[in-house]
Amino acid sequence: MVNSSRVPNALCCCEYIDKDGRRNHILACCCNCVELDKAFDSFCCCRRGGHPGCDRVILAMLDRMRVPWLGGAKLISCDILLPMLLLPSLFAFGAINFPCTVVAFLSMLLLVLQLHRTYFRSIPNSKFFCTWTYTSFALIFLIYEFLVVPFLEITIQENLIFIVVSIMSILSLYKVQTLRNSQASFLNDVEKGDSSLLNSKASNTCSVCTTYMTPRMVHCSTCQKCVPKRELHCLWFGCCIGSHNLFWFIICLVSLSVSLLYSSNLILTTVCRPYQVVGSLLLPEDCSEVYYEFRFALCFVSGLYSLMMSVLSVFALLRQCWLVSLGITGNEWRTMPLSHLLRFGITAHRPYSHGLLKNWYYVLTRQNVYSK
Amino acid sequence: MVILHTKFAGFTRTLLVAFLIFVVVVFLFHPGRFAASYDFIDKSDIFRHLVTVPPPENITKPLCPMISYSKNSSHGSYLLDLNFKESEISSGGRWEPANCIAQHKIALIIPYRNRKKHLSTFIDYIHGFLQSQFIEYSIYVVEQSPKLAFNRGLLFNIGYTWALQQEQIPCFIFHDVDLLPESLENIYACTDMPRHMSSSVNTFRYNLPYGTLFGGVVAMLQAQFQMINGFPNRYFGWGGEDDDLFMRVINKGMSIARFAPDISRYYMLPHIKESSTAENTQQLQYVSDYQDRDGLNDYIRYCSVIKDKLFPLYTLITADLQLPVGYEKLNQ
Repeated sequence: MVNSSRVPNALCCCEYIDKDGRRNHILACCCNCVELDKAFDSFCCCRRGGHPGCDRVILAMLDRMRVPWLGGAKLISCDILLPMLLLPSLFAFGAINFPCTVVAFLSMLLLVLQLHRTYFRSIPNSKFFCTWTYTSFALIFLIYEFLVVPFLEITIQENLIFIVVSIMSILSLYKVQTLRNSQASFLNDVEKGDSSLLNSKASNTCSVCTTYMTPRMVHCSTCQKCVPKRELHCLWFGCCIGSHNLFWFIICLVSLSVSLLYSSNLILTTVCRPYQVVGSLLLPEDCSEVYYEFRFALCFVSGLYSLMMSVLSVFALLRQCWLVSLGITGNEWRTMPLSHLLRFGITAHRPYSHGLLKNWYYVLTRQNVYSK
Repeated sequence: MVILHTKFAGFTRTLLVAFLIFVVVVFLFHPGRFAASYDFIDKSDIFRHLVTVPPPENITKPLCPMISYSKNSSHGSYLLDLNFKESEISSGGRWEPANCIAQHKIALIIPYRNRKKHLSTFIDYIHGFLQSQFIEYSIYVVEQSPKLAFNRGLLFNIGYTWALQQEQIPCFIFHDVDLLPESLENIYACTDMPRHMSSSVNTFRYNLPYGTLFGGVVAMLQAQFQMINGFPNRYFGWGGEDDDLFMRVINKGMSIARFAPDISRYYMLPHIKESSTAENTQQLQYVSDYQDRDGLNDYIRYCSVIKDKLFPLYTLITADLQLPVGYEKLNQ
């Protein structure tokens, strides 16, 4: 007979192996904390060196924060949990009254900026921003479906449009994140006859990856990878954007802008007094009655947030469209001298541009063209 | 054996996922969660459905046209720019076209309390509106004394009876004070079926929340209103009486009519929303039991004093309400 407790992978979904290598259970998360006992002891006896004890307690606490999972409870990392708690509480705070909404949005902005700085320094590949994106999207969707739709003011066709565009943006986001910049595709292109690439002067090897580098390939320190035609490392999507996923990145930005703008319009025209512009297009007109009820206010705050996100998304889309039209990558844009930047890069030397239409053609047909 | 087992597990998982997706899709697109789409009288059929007053035998003047399209605003949105001469209106808010014979004669009944601003906006607007449609009308505003909670249905019954005592009126329009019609094509007259006129209100994003909604503005022939025994009297507080009225209409074998959404557009004057009283919505299931006991034939038990006063632009009926003996039993 096999003693099941000795088999490491026979954990039930609520059990886990803790940092000391012992088997533990989620339900015991508040029991028997040696670190806390020690810290409390040293505190009572006024012993010096309370700080490392305190740190150990926090470490033990973090180790015990787990969710049940198949094959053993999983650790929840702090940077995933933070946006999931922060965003809903900021929404709820913003729904109190108008000054609170302003404070909530301002603090959200400052917080993101501050976290951006600290995270970039300490944990560059943190999942914080990616989780933030998912959480906001889920929150807007849930508030729309469970608070706004029950007002019975939205038609089934409008709901259909919103859901289709949302699914499109989710799928394209998934595509952006999962498409790998494979070296294979590059070598394929070489085999197809573009053999001049191998001999060109610009090609060399990356010092970190020790792989072969194509002309416009840039090493991303966050992804620890070489990215062909690197545009930027998108924190919010949690991945690098290069020629391998630029097409899906643009599709994602388009559908994201549309769905966010549409949801904000649906939410705000439902909770505010709308007026008709042309045809069936409604715009919110008077939102002064929103704060009388928490439910209305919560919808209003999420509508505003959705609007804000869509503005950011539209801005990113326009920027990307401009870069594609110019035929330069985000990386090249950032290294451009100021004198060219002030003229929006039109005057810059663009060795890889094929002209406006061709640039777009190559992006939309997802062709990799390495040289002119 | 193992292969079969894993195959079966895979199949079960696919089935489970498919079922889950099905449930989510059904939830997301369940029609009950959304604004209702409804049948309406086609624009070309409207005049066939309208019930007109038979013209007198010796006609001295031509019949009025139904509508003067020249005044219809081009953009279709927002309120119309209408005006009227106060001198042409006789005391108590009566008017009939001077140069032609009106094809429609209506009484407008408006329940009212404590909304002076709304009332003056409404009255100023509706006179110009009705005159552009060449409708012979009289306006009755029924005000409730401040003692009890607002009882919209009861006030309608009072206004109806009072107006009928003054003159013979074939068509009644029961109108909320905060709703202003946006389209002149929305003719303020009765159709062969009771008509829900405000099916597209701006605060509902110009959609109809649910198909059985029968509140806001309702037009009904006098005979029909008599047949359904009027509004229920028992609903004090906000909500309930309109759904009850719908059930009364259905119980008597009638159905309700509506005009197209772009015609039946209304602008709601801003005010704070009130939530429906829980007690009121519970009574719905017993409508058919008490329809013939609670309504027009019974409303007088709720009234202690009713007075009227003629203003230049409307007749004001003031009603002092009381709870009748045995009202508490109604709610049990």
